[in-house]
Amino acid sequence: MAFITLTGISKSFAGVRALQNVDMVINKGEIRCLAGENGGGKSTLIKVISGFYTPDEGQIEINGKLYKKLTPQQAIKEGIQIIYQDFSVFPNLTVAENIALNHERLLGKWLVNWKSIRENAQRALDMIGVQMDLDALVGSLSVADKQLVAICRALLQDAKLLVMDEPTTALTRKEVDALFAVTRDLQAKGISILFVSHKLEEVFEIAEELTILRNGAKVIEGPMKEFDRAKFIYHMTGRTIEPTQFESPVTSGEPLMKVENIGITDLFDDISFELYAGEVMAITGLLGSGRSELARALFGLDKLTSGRIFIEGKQITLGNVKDAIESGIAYVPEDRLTEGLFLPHSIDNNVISATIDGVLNKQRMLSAKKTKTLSSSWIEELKIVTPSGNMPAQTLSGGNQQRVVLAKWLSSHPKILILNGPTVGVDIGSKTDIHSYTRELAKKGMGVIIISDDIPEVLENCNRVLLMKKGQIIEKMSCEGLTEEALSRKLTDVVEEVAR
Amino acid sequence: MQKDKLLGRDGKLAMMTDGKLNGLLADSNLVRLALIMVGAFTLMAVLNPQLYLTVRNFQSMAFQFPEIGLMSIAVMIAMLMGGINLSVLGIANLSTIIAAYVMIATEPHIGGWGATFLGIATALAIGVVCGALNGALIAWVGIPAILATLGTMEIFTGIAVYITGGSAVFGLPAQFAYIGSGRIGPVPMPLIVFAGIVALCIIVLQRKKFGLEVYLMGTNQKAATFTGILTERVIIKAHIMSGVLAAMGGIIMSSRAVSAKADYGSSYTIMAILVAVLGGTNPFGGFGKVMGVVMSIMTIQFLASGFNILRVDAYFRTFIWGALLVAMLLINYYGNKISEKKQIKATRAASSDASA
Repeated sequence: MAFITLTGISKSFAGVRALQNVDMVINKGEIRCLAGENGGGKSTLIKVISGFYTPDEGQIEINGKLYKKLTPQQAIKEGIQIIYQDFSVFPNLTVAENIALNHERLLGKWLVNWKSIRENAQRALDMIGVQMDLDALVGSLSVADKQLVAICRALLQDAKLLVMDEPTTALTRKEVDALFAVTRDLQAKGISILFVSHKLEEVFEIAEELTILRNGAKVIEGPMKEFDRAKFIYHMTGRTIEPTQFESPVTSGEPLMKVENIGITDLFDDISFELYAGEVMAITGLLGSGRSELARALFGLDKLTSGRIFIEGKQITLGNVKDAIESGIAYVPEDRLTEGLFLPHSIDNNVISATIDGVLNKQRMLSAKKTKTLSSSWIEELKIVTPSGNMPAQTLSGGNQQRVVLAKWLSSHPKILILNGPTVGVDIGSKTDIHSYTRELAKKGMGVIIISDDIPEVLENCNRVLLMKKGQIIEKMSCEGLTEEALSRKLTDVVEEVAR
Repeated sequence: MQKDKLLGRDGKLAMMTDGKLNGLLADSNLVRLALIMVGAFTLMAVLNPQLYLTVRNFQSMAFQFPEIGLMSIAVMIAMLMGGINLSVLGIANLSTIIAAYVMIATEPHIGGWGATFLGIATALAIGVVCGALNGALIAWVGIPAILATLGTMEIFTGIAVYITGGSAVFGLPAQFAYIGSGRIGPVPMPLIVFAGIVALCIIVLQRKKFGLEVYLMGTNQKAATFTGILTERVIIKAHIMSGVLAAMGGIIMSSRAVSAKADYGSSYTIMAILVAVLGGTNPFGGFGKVMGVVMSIMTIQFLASGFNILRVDAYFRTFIWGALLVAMLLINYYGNKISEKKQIKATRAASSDASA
């Protein structure tokens, strides 16, 4: 029996069609997986289900009741609970408060009954068979426990459909198993689960039904057993993936960048590697492995407490970002919205922002002509879709925004380009473009470092991969002959060892 | 300054890249302000043409608005970074009081002109120090600008009251009075000083690297750090600039009074904020034009002089200033919404072209 039926859902944002005519049914007590690449429309669909976005077209039927315009309040009332990637928990409150405060709030009483908060929180924990200190601050919990808190909160609000958005991103293998056990347990209680993921192995393990979105449209759906690996990947990416592997360049002579035993107390330690011109090297690891901290340090954002860095044989000190830029390092940050772009400013200003000196005239004044020339050439080169460079960067789609960030750094003519999660939240077209462009840059002699936990991305585009855990590099591998399964296992197994 | 350097390629007053900072948004803002300014002037001129449209009235207006105009630009600079400077008046009074003591002490030895010169240099130096203190508190200590400058406002005013005992410092050189009360031909000195400083500010904020860094940082300080902009240095420099402009405003103010006092211009702090916001400065940072603030202060002066001539009640005037501020915020809010919609439309058209 259907719990929720979506019919012909379409939704557009400035210049981008996020969802096109999507149909989906979730039955009671079913575990359905919603799969698709980053930018495929998964998040938008979740937000439609939760009532956060009103679709431009289409309708939603929940429990036989038709909603033309579903509000978040109605969705919650119908028992739809979303567990977002960041869990939306309050780190400054206790476990009990996080689980039961909203439930208590909705009762609409004058005063808060603290006793019932504790009781309800305990009841929710019992439902999933988990022991936890009710008075512990949620900020001090592990990622997995935070997630369980979020699940308990949802259960207490009488969840009938639990949507989990990329729930395994930061979990160890053991924690994933525990989560799956809880998930199956909830299913047995008649709760529907929508499991949103792009991770192949997990989808096969947990889901019964599968819906795949690509570029905002549903491409296929059906029982999980009708799918195999190849079919899944084909429908998700729209390509038969022949891992066109990045060819290992000939590396000889002096390395472009040489890093010797660098570390920052408590973040990462004893990192050494060499990067040669023409290489695309990956640094991978789970969230919290120190991969982003390492990237920040290589760009002068945080100061090293030990070790040395050489660029073309010369030792450099990275006191700030300016030092890094002057040493020929560029960094495309993880979060382009807060770290990469000046959203309200024009594309032109964003492109020149790291190289203002290059657009000054003889009197050291900003030259409009030089700005335009530089920016236009990048808009053309990187195929940024916009009517004009005068448009604010916030009018662009994710993929185009990422191209602006890339343009900003490439105009500084770096020797070394560090890309942190370069294609997160980027549509497939842009993703492919960014990948092929990166390879081209390497071919021209740039040294590229990609920091990513997107395994296909790493294997396809890099010739080497460094695996990080707990702030250390534990393995250096060549990508040649390395399979997705092998790398994926290494990535999760690694954490397993630490957990024991 | 060559003409073609001040003028952009399309002949508009040179804002070069920043003239295109926010494309549609920025330009429509200036047009809007110009219309409001002309409207205010016309209204007042029509209501009482015999007294309003006289050389005397124009001169009197030109003597009055530069001091607060400079303080408004000082506030605007802080607002461009998403902050504010509440201490402008404190800086103005403290710097001129110390300058006054320096002038009084040195006039017998180096003469009136020498003392005046030294006094101005002293006031500007105090402006630098005060601005640097504001900047350091905000950039290094990380105190929000509104609290940091609220604190320093009290400090600066407190020092000023303490060293003067609250009374005015008289006996300034006659030459010093020339800055505030003199004329070159029919043109009052304050207006000339103001025009020169405005031109300088336009160059520094809208044509130099430093200015672009201020505008960029104002919308996203984190991204600015990631871009290699030395944000702390930019904040401190900008507040020094703000402090110097405040001191300059103080010099004109004290020169017009031929004295210095801790509580001169007591309504100026609020007024300067009002003028900056009316001038289209975005209080969240990143956007605002010197010319916008100039038109805004002139609008206010046109109205204020008109009210004087019409003998409008002082309390009612306060109400009008407040209503004007709120109205302008609303106009900007809806104006920006409309331009945003236009931009989205244009982007949509472009992306459908690209996919076609």
